[in-house]
Amino acid sequence: MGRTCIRGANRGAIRVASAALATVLAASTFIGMTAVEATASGAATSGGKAIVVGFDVDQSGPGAGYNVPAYNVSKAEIKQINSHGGIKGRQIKTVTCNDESTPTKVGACLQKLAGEGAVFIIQLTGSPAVIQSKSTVQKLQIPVISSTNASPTVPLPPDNTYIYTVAEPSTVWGPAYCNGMKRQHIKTIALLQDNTPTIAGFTPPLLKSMSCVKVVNTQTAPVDATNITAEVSRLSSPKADALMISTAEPSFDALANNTIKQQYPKTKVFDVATLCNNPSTWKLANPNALVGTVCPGAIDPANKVTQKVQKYLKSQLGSSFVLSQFTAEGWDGVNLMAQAMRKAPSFTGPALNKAVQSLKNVPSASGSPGYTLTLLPTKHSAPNGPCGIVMVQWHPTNNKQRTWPAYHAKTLGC
Amino acid sequence: MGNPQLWVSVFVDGAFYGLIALAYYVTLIGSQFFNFAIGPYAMVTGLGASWLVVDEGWSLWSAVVVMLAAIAVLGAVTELAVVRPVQRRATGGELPALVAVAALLFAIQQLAGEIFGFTPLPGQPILPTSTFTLGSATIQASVVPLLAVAAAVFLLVGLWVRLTPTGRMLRAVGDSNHAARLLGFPVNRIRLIAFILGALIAGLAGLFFAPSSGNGVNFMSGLNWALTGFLALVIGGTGTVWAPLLGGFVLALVNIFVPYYFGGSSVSYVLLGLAVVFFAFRPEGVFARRVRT
Repeated sequence: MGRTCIRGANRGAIRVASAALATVLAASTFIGMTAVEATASGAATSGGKAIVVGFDVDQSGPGAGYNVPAYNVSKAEIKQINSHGGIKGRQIKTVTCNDESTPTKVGACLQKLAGEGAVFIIQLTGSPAVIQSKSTVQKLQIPVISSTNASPTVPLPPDNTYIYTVAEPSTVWGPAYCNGMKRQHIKTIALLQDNTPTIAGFTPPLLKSMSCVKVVNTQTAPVDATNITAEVSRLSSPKADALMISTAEPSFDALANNTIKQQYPKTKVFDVATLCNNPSTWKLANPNALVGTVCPGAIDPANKVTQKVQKYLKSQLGSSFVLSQFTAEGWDGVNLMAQAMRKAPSFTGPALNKAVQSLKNVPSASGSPGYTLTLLPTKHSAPNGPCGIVMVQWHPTNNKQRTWPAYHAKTLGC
Repeated sequence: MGNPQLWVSVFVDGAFYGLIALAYYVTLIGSQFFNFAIGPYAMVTGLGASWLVVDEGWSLWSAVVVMLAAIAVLGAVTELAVVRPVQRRATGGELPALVAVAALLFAIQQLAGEIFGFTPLPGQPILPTSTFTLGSATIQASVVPLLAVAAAVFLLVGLWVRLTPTGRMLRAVGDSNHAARLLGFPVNRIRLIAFILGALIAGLAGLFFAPSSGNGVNFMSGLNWALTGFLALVIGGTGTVWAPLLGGFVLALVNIFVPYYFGGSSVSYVLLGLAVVFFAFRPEGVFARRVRT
């Protein structure tokens, strides 16, 4: 009679596979650290040597969802500039590097762009990468406009001589949220956030600026989670007047809205700008999961510059294109760069930088009518006041937004 | 643990992890090889179908058929062009082929991003029910199809492995490649069938889980799913066809209830601890394969 034994049939195979698993994890770290790639696209030169503009873009990392659309708009604007003769008769040629919003890659990207001859750099990447890049920018002495960054620390010293931001800083968002929250008697919020360094740095200053509310409950979930039912369930105790979502990843934002709507269908929900200003990602949400959620948008249809820019971009990027905060920032960044180049006596770093610091009251493609941008030696954050923010609410479906009825922009001076 | 919505999530995640683990299991018992590309197979099928429907305007069923066919081809290519040649050159050593498949995992992810885009796409509901409530739990339209497909796949694979000649040969090759060759079994053909079947199971998992995943599917999902499915198989073991399903549910229980009781950041530590415990003390999993000697 045979003896049955536990052969542990795959003990050996599992040991080897475990070694391979360690290799896989090590390889993923290595490959993640070395995937700096640069691509170049040039316009044919006519009337002189091309002006090289560098793009430091998150094309495939956690910020790709909002930076890639901004990049597409930036390139469309450069195409328009080139079609009108370029800058001082010289065409603009672009070179691009993908830093995946990774602080360890951004320095190499900027060096690579400088090596390719870039005289100006547009940054479309996450805050941790932008913050990390400041010392490199200072050494390279090339003006950098960080178009989509809303971190309030970037335009401040140290190492801010050559770096500028276009977006309303997140500290302005607080009064905009509170403008409506007070009217709705919201005094406490429960916060759901992702676990990325971007949000870890972004959320505290935002909450500090929202002086009208107290955060009574904070839950953090992995940004790549496919199920956050547990974390959302924990938001119920202690109970808050409203829920708030903070994330830089549109898919996490959609998941959060889906799950919250499922568990708390009647609770007021506030969101940051991620999904809000990325219309192409709204389809990730379940039907009507976004309806009622309030977020800081940036587009007021009454703004004439918005209308003009939207019309041009529809002709370039398709009739379904909708201008949003991030794409408008992409447009504004290139516009400021082009204006500085036209004013500068030469294309050296210091000359261009001085020209950047003389741009005053440049009309913006976003915000309330009359909203403008200014950059000065002592002002490296371009917004003139809080009117770049327009608090919006999804209503009556996931595909449409309206100005949040509780938000009264005029009381903020807009 | 009384929140029914959490249990719905356990069943959804458990079914998905179980299917991925089953894909590993089928490939393992048919070829004695851990195919880490299983995770990207699931991702490519889900993401590719979404891309065809959302961006290219295809009908859903055309997209499903094409992507399942594509993933079967990819499974075959993995065996014929990567694993078999590397194993032959390494004269039977496991590690070079495993490393080669790990490299393939990243290549598939990057290629998926290049073809289908780097931004997430919504999963496409297949045979959806209407959304309904069960007690205080909301059951989304894609949940019942996922659970039904998982049950059907496990049942069919179990019957196939036990009752069909090819299924029995698969188990024989998995027990001993060498003995199977000596007995004249078509070992290479069986290995190929194992890779293709594993890819198809992973593809079905990706298709039916994508709309349930809550946040769509993106090109980076493959690595996460590969690691999760592997852990589910390690926990469940390879003693029976149903062992991967048990592993999937154990993993889902941890993923859902640990964050519920201890916060979102705790689940990584608990999963690490679980992996260490099983690797150290029970590497054969809960259900180990038994053979008569």
